[in-house]
Amino acid sequence: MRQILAFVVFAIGTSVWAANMPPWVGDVQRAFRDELRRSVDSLSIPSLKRPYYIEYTLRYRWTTRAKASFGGLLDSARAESARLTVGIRVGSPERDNTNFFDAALLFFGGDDREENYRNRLVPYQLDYRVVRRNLWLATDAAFKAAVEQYAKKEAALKNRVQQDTTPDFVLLPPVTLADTTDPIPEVNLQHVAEQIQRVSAIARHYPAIQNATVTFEHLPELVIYANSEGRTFVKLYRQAGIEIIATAQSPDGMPLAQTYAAYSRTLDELPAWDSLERAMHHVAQRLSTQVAAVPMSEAYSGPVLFCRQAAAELFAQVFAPNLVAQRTWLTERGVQEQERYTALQNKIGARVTAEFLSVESTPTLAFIGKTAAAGAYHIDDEGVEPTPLTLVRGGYLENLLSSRVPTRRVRSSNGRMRGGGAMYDVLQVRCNDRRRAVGERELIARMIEILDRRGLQYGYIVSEVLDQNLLYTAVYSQTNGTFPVGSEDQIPALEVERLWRNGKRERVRGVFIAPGGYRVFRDVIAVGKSTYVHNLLAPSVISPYRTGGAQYVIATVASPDILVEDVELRPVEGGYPTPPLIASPLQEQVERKQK
Amino acid sequence: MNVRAIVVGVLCCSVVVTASSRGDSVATDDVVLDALRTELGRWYSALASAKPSAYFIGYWVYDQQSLVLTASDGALIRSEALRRRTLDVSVRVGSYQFDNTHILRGSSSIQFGSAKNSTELPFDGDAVALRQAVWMATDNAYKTAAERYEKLLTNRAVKVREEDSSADFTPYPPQRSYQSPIALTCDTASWAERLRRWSALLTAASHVLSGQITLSAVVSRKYLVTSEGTELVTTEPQWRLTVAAYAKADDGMTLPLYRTYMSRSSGGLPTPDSIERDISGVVQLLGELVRAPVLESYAGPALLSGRAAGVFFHEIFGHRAEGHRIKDPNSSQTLKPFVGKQLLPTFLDVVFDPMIERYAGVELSGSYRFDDEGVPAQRVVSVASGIFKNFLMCRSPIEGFPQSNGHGRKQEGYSPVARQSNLLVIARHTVPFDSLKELLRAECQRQGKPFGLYFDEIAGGFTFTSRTIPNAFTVQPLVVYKVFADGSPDELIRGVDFIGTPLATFANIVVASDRVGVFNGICGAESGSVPVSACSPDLLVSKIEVQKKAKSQSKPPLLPAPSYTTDGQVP
Repeated sequence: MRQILAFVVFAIGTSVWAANMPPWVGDVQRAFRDELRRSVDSLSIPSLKRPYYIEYTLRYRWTTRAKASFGGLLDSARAESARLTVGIRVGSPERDNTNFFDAALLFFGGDDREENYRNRLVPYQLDYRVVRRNLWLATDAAFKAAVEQYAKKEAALKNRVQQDTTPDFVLLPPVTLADTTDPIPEVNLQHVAEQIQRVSAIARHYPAIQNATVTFEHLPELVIYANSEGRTFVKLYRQAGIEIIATAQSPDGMPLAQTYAAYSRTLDELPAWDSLERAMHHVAQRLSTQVAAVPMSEAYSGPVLFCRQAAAELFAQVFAPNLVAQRTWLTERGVQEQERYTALQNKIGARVTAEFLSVESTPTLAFIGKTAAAGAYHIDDEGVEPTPLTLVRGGYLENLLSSRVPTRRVRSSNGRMRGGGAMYDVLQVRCNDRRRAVGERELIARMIEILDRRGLQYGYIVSEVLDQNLLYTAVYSQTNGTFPVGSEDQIPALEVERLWRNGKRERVRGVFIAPGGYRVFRDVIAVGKSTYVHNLLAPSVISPYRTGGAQYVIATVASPDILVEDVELRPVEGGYPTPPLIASPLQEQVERKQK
Repeated sequence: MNVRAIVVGVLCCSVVVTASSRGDSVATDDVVLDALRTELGRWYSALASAKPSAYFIGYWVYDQQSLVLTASDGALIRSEALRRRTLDVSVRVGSYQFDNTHILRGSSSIQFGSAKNSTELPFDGDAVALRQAVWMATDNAYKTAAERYEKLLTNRAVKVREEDSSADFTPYPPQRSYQSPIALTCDTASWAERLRRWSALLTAASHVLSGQITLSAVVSRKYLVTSEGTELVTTEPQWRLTVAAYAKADDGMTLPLYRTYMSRSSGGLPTPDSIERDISGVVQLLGELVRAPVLESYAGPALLSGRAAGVFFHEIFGHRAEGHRIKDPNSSQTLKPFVGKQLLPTFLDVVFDPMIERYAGVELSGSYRFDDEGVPAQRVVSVASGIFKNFLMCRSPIEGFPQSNGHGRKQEGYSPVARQSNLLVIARHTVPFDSLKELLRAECQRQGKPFGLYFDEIAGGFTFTSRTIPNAFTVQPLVVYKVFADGSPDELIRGVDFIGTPLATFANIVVASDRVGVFNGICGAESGSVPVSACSPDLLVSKIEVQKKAKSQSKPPLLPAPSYTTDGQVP
C-alpha cells in the first residue's frame, strides 16, 4: 500500500485564474501541500492502519442576504466565512473506513473529540499559518475518527460472509483543474435591500395576503481542494437566488401559499427588478384568486396534465433523486441500511419511463435555450470533470449519476459529487417521438378524450407544485407550522384547475399529488412541445446527516408538459386553523377606503 | 429542571453612545410604539368579547443592533453586524385568578414559560408592515391561549385541590417610560486589529491548542406595551469581551480557561495592556494546568473565592428563591418551610438588587430599571441575618407573597418567570483574606485533613430543583489549589467538580473574608437566558465534596503543531 502514499507534488496552473483570485489562495495551497506531505509521512498510531488517502477542501463564502416584508426590511447582512473539511481513508481502496454507518462519528459531539474536521469554521482572514494550524488539528481529529471507524467496520465484518465485494474507493491519477474565470462579484447591498423592499411592498395592494416575504441571497464560494493523489482544483461555485413567498387563509381557514423562486449562478442571470415586480404581482394575484377557489372535496384518480413548473418539479421530486447511484452502508451489526431514493438502483436495463422519453444529464451545459441552467458546473467536489450522460434512453435506464464511491452498478465516478454526495445536476427530459409531443391545446384535447372514454366528469391540470426547499425553509414557518405538508409520498400542489369534459376550467385549492413513485413516468402518454427550464435548490439525495454536506444543492430540470394517464390526487384533510378573528391592517385599509 | 450559569467572557468596547439620550423622554414619532398601540387597541376590544375572552394582552419588541467580532489564531473568524427586530405576544384568557398560563398538572409538558417562536418584524418600514406582523402574531397567540385554557378547565376539574391556590397573575399599575434610541458605533477596524493580535498571543504557546477572543457589542431596545396601559421603551447597550482558550493534558483532560469583561460603555473597559496581561496569565496558567496532578474524590474544608462563592450561591440558593417554582407541584420547594426561619449563618445577608449598576468597583450585568413584566426593579432582601425573608417574585403570586418584586424576567421568545438579578452575598462580620487561609489550615488540622481546597476560578454551575431527581448542585471549577495544613506551598490541581445538596451545604459556611468577587454571567432557565451577576466575599466552608470531572478520552494531537516562523514561512 505504501506506493499509494507516494506524494504527488502540486503543479498549480496559476495562469487561468490568478488575475481574479484573492491573494491568499496561494498560501492555502502551500499549506495544503505541506500539511498533506507531513500527514502522509508521519501521521500514525502504532499497530493501526495509516492513511492511504487524505483530502482537504476549503470553502470561502461571501454571503450577501436581504429579506423584506410589506415594504419593511427584516434582514440585511453581509458576511465572509471559511470552512475546512478533511477527509481521511485508512485501510485500502478495497476496504477502508467509509461506507459504514457509525452514528457516533457522524456528528460533532457524538464522540469525545474536541476538534471538528467537517465544515470546520476557520478564520476567513487566511494565511499560511492559520491554514496549517487548522489543518493540523482537523487532520488529527479526522485520522483518529477514521481508524476507529475502520476498526468498528472490520469487527462488524469479521464473522460475516460479505457477498458484495465492491471496493470502497477507486484511486485516480493526479490532475490540476481550475474553473475560476469569473471575477468574484460585488453586490451593492443597499441597492438590493431597497429593491426587495420595493418589490415586497406590492403585497400591500392585496388585502387577502396575510404574510409575504421577498428574500435575496448571493452566495459565491471559492473552493480550494487538494488530495494526496495530487489532484487539485480551485473553482468558483456560484449561487444567487430570489424567493417570493406569500401566504393566506381561505374563508374556511385552509392555509394557502404561492411562491416564486429564481436561482442562478450569477447575478446577471437573475431576473431584472421590474420583472420581479411582475412576479410579485403574479404571486399576489394567484393567491388572492386561490382564496376564493373551491376546495377539492374528493380524492381523484385519473388523467392529470402537469404544466410548466409542475412538470419539472414533479420530475425533480419523484424521479430525479432515484438517478443517483447509492452505496448501501454497513452498520455495526453488519445490517445494511436502507437509503431513500433507491428505487432505480437495480433497474439498469429496465424500462422506467414511457418509451418515447429520454433523460439526459448535461452538467456542463450553461444554457438551455435562452435560460441559464443554474445546476451547471465543470468540476465536481472531488476534482472530477463531469461528462454528459444519457441516463434513460427510449424509456430504458442506461446509467446512474456517481461520485468516486463505487457501487455495484456504477464502478467509477462520472463527476457528480456535489454537496457531500452524488447529486443530480442539469437534467433534460426529452421526447423521442414527434407524435407524442403536441401543443397545450392538443394535450387538453387528449385529456378530454380520456375523460370521455373512461366516463370521468373531469380531470385536473396542475401548473404549480410546491418546491420542497421553499416548503421547509419558508412556507411552513411563515404559516406558523399550519401549512398542510402531507405524508412523505404526497406533494402539495399550488395551482390546480379542474377540467370538465366540456372544456370548462375551475380553480381548485387544497390538493395533494400522490404520484406513487417514479412509475408515474411510465404512465406518461403525451408531452408538450415546449420545454420549461426549472432551476431549484434540490434536497441532497444522500442525506447530509450522513455526508456532513449541504442540505440543498442547486440543480436544473428541463421538462415539457406531461400528460399522465393515471395519477392520484387527494384533498387536504385533517382540519386547519380558523381564519383570523379580526380583519388584517391591509383589509382594514381597504374597508376604510371603500367607506 | 436544569439551571446553568455560564461565564460569558466579555470585554466592553467603545459603543460611542450618545449618553445624554439615555434619560426618559416623550415618545413622539416612534413607529413601533404607534403600531403596537393600534393593534393592541383593535385586538383588546375584539378579544374582550371573544369566547373565551382575553383579559390581558402584552407585546414585547426586541430591537437589536449588534456587532460580533471573533478572532482565532491571529485572524478574524467572524465579523458580523446585524440588525433585527422581533415580537413576542402574550394573550391571557380567563381571569387573573385562573388563566391559560396555569400549570397543567399531570402533564409531562414543560410547565412554565416554554419557548415560543418570536415573530420577525421589519426594522425599516412604516407602521403597516409592522402592524400586519403584529396582527398575525396576536391571532396565533390568542388561539394558542384559548386552546390551552380549555384543556386547563378540564384539568382543574379532574385533579386534586392544589396546594397553592394563588392567582395566576396579579394586576399592576400601568408604568410609562421612554428612552431615546442609541446608535451602535464602533471602530471596527481597530477592534479587529486588537482581537487578531490578542488571539495570536493565545496560540503562540505550544500547549494552547485553540483560543478565541470575541467582542460582542449590542444595543437592545426593548418595548413593552400592555393592555393594562403600560408603555415602556428602554435602551440597553452592552459590550462583552470573552477570552477563551484550552489545552489538553496527556490523559486527555480538556482544560479550558476564560476571561470575561462586561460594560455598558467604552469607559468601563479594561485597558488593552490589562487585557494582554490577562491573556498572558491565561497562557501561563494553562501551561501549569496541563502539568497539574489530578485530584481524586475528596470531602473536607474548602475556601471559595468570591466569584466561586457567588456562583455557588446563585446555584444553591438563588434558583430556589425564585418564587414561581413554589407553585409547581413538581418542584422540590426547598425554601418554602424556611420563610421566617434560620437558613444561613447569622452573619450572612443575601440581597437581589437590579437597581445597582456597579459593585465592588465592577459593573454588573444583572441590572435593569423595569423587569420584563413592566414592574419597576426592586431591591429584595431575601435573607437577613441568616433568616429567609423573601422569594424573588414575578407577577405570578404564591401563598404569602401576593405581589411582584420586580424580578419577572425573560429572554426574547420566552414568557417571564421569577429570575435572579444582581445577587449580593453580604457578610456582617469578615476577616482579611490571608486570615481566611489560615482558618482553612486550622480547620484542616481540626478535621485531621492534610489539605483543604481553594476554588479560585469557576466556569459556572447548575442545579436541579425538581422532585423527581436528587436536589443536587454542581459548581464547575477551572482553577483549584490544594492548601496544605502544614503550611506547604499551595499546589494547583485539576479534574474535580464541586457537588452537594443545598441545605447541608448552607450549614457548613463558617466565615467570610473582606474581599468581594463579582461574577458576571448568563443564566439559563425556563424563561431563557438572562444576564445576571453574583457577588460574594470569599467563604470558608467546613465541609464540601468533590467528584471527578467528566473527561475526554481523546489523545492530544499525534503530531506536534506545524512549525513556521512568524511570517508563515517554514523554517
